[in-house]
Amino acid sequence: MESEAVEEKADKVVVTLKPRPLVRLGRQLILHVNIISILCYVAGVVGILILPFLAKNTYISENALMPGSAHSAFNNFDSIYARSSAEELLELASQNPDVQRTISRWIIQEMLGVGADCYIHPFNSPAPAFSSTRFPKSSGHFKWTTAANSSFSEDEGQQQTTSGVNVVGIIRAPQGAGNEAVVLVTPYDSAAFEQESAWTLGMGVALFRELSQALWLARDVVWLVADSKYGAYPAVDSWLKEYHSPSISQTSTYDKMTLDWLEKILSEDGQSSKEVIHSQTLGDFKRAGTIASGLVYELNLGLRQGGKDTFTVWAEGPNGQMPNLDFINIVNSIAVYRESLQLRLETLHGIKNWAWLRGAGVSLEEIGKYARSVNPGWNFAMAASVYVDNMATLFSSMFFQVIGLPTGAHGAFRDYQIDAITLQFTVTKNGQDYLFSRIGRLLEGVLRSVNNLLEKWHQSFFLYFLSSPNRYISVLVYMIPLGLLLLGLPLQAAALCYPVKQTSKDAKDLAHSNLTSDGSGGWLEALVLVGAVQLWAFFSTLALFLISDMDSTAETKLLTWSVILVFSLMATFRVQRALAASINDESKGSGGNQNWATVKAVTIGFTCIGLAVMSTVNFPVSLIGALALVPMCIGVFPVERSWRYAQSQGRSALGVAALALGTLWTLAVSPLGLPVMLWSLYGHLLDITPGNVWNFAESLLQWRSALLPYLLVIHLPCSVLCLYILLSRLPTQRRRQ
Amino acid sequence: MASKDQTLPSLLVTLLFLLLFSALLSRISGLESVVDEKEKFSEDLLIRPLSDGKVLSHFYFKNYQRTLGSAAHTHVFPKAISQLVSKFHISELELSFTQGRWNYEHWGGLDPIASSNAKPSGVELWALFDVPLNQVDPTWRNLTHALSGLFCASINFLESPEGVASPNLIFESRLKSGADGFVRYGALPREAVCTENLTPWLKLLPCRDKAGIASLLDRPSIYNGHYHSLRVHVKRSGPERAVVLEQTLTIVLQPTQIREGGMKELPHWSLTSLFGRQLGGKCPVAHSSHVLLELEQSLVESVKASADKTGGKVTSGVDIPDNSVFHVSPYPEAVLVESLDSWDVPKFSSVMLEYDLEKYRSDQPLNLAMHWKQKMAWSSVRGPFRVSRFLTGSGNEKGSIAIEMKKNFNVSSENGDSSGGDLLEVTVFQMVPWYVRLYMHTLTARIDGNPVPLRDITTQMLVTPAEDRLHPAVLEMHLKLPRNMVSLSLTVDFDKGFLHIDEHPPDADHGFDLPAAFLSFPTSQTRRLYLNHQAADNKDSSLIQTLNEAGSLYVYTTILLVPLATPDFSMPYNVITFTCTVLALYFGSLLNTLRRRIGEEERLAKAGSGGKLKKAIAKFMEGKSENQKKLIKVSGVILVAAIGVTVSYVLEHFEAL
Repeated sequence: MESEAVEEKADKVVVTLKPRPLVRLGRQLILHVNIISILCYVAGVVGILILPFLAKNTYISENALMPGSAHSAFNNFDSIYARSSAEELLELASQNPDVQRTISRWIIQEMLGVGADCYIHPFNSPAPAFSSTRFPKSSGHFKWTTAANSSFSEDEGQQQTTSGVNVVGIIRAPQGAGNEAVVLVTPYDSAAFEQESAWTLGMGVALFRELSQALWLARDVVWLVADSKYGAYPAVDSWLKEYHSPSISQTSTYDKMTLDWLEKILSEDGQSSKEVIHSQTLGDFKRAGTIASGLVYELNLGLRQGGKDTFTVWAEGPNGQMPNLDFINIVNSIAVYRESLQLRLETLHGIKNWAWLRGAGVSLEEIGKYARSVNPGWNFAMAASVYVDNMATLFSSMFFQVIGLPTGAHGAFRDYQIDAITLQFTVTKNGQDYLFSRIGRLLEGVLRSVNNLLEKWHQSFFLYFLSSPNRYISVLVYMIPLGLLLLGLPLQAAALCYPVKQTSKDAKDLAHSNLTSDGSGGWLEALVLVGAVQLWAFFSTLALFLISDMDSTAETKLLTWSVILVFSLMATFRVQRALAASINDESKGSGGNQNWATVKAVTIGFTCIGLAVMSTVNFPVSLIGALALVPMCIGVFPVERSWRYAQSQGRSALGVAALALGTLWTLAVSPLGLPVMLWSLYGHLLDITPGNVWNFAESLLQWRSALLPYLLVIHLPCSVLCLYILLSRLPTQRRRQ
Repeated sequence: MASKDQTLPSLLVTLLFLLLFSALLSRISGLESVVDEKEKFSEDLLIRPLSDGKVLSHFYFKNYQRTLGSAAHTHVFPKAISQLVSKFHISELELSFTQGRWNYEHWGGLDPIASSNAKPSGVELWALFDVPLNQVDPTWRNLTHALSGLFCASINFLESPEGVASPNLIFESRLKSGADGFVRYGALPREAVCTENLTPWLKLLPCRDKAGIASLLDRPSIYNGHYHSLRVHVKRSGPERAVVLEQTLTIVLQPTQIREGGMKELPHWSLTSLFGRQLGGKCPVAHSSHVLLELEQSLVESVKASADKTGGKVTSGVDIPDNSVFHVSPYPEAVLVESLDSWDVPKFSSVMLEYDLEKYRSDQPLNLAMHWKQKMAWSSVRGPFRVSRFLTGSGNEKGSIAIEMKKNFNVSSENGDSSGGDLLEVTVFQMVPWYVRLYMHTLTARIDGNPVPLRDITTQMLVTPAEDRLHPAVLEMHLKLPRNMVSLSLTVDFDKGFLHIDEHPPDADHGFDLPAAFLSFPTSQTRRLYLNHQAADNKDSSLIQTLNEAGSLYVYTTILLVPLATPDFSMPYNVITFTCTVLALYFGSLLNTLRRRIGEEERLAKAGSGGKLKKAIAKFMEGKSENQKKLIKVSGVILVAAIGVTVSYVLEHFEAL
């Protein structure tokens, strides 16, 4: 379109022919590019704010699931069994010092008692850097991993037992072919065995016993009792790793370790333990075919909310990958319609108190009311409190996805393309039996639905946000705000590349004229500059990666990295100067200064592409990136030019304000401004110290979060280039005029 | 007088009936002698309590026909099978329909029942043809269609060569020497098995399920079990090429009786509680009809140990049908003891309780029952190895198949393997569909985790590479393994192929099943030699004769599910829409460029010509000031908008009406 515009413009001088409509449209767009890009940005922001209005009600897309169509066999006896098991476990744990061994033995006996295949899976403790996830946790905002992680700090010092041990039981589906399985996970904390863990295991035993009687199973049921001494995630992750990519070369060492563990666990029985181990092949790592879905559940101590028994669904996997929406739908529908349990989605504490959000809610409610009074058909009004709730859910989900860390053990499944969720049930102190049977029935119902599923999860959405348990925003809707935010960037770049002068004489932007006259030289220089900065950004990522392997404190690592960053940036600019000089020598040796407009155009182009690519990797990161970077890219101008504009006669108050805002925004979002801003805004909430910052970055690296590549490969070079533009000097010949 | 008149004819009628009946009887007895010569049918039911509380029932029907002629009349032998055999020149054929998995660890792996009746899920068919090589494949195709019709199953899907292998090594020991011909092997792992397959199978029996042992087959009970395998085995043997048809049904049921101890106790069972039906006598045309209760060696051993503990008489042995651990009723007619060879009976050996159905009638049914008196732990005899096959890797790109064999701990060196010296022989057969593209060079063997060069352990290896859409990859290996090894793993990497959109089966997102791998252990013999010392006559159970025959051990792995990349099947619609849009845009602009004449347009532009409406507007606008013009334009727009709004409002209003 743009290239046509240029050709057409050349023609226009000769013949006073009206150009084609498409070209005219393009010309108009470029003429009003500033207004349009600001409008687009505002529309994008508004679009994000009205997402709750655009949410649709969820529905179960896959007919085969048939949630709640069968009676649940989990009855009161089972719930009593769950409770008595929990009490038994607590007593056992209190009597024996080695909780891990006691609990494991008890579970193995239970599993064998119901005729299931059983084995243990010992695993080594995760790398020590895992502790860096404590940084976001220390904010007190939310519990990062599930209950078990809290004990980590206590155990860290002791180092008495270096590994955990999972116990796994498999119910073979009586009439199944044995090529598919559903995994149930119950994390328990062997380092601090409390009521919660006991309840979870008790429920697990009762459900497993119940399922072992079921003739309707089409898929094997694997019950993974995850030793969450180091958090539930590493336990589940190491089991899945062994399941999918066993280290065949180390089979013998693994087998030996397993047998040692078994001896240790079952040693109380003496000689007979060996026979049990061998006759039940407890040492074999048994498999059950392709894993179709995973369901993690745990029972937590808590209070009823609003007179209802609630439970929380955690679904965010690594880098914001979500399980199939149908999974959450069946949980919700069984919970709400059959068991009258209230499904909750976790929200970050505090979002609901944001004043501006409340304000937006109230005003949107007023607008809705007004619209309804105008036309009763426009029925989109939403109470302000509901709006705030939805927005808080949405923002929290986005926040979890931005960080890119999974919100629980279900995230480990996502690495193997298995859909999984975590259900966290809240049980009051004197856990009622009726609630246990409800939970059991819900779990059995969900499992039965999953069992009914003939194919893998493919019917419903994978790309969605939930604004409330039964309302979702599909990718179709949430891409629109991002599109609007990004739309300004290509328009701006086009305007910088092909400046269209208005017929009147107000085209004072002389900088532009340089572009068309001076052929490829300016472009090449700009490309070299932007390319060099991008390379530097890649190098900085690499440096972070390398330094994280260093054996020193976090503070020194951060310092080293910053020093390397600064020096390499200086070197980059030096190299870029030399290159630019050689280019200029070749092409007639015109003005030595960079043309800031070309640089800006190229920067905008790179940023736009980067953000668009990032949106496919991790959408919320891209969205937040667009919110931060778009105003900077559009609003950045050399300070010298802004100053001159402010001095000139043709200035307007709006223009000056816009320039000032652009400059301020650029400074704020820049690598220097951003930490200062974050510290001043959230310093009281987060524990921001250099060490913590480095640990956080390292943990992002370890979890392969997309936030880090965004920050280092898109945000950092873009803001450095914008700072460069801000500080760049105008061409000297222009200054002479 | 009147009464006398009436008695005489009635007497006559009775006499006549008697005459006729005796004639009929003599005919039947004559027929029996004919059966003895040319055809023979026998039925057996073997029941074995399993260590996990379940009960194995093995129905065995053997049908024998001495001569096979196209015009020969058969009395009990199913004509469908004899026609099949003669038409397709079958030397041997085995067809099985299976639901569920055989649990080699808990239900036994080294006995003849497990070895020959543990089959992979779905349908498995193999046949040995006595035809020239160029006619094997057409004959196979026709056979699949014939069987498909006969057994109401989609066996005809095996006609396409992409799922059929021609194995050589694996059937070597089974076929023995003498029988030459060509083997074809095919499997349908996803075939569902139900009553529609059982009914035609029953039709092959002379009494169907109306009398004899098959009358126990109550459909709801037998399809509620943990394992269900229906098998048809046809073989021509002997110098006269007699046809032997073996029909077996192997089911593992969970007795439903609940005891006070819950699941930890062994449940009592009886034939009526297991099947919900009564066993009222034999099938009248059967030559022999027996019900057998097998008690495994380790169970007998435990029982004897328990008897010793309780202070029973050690010297005279234990009364097997009624002891301190369990009680079997009724008392058996004969007790058979397993022996190593003709007269050598070891101290502990399996015991077979025999019931001859001759003695039972419908008013006096046999209700074999087992009542446990105390909890007893024992384990079935396991094979030398436990075999598992699994996929590693994730994602839609690649992965690898691993077969892992681990030595069973309780297998002592003298158990089961009489020959072979210090080497263990294993034959592995694996058929993989073409869309799982194996890389044969990545085939690695590891013994106890250490890589071993293949040539060190392989004596023979046959590899048929896959050809896309033509035939599957077949891997056959004959391995000789050191006896002291603990585990062996064979891995081979593969890439996942893409299928055409029309090649996907229904429910394509389910994934694709790989047929079970199949292992044979020629050095491990499955044989249970039961010698009947009491009755040395010819009326021995034919099942016991089968058990007495030696055979090598066969083990199947489970089938595997490979998730392949499946297209979004709503995509064709999207593609069509997109393509049409692109084409429309392309051709539209092309036509536009071709049609437009720039010179002419310039001329027209200069002439300032326009449509009539335009001219009229120009005329109307003439002489108006700029402001007026603007006003008129704006009011025109407002007018159009107002008309639009009114129309929409009216339309809505009328709709409401």
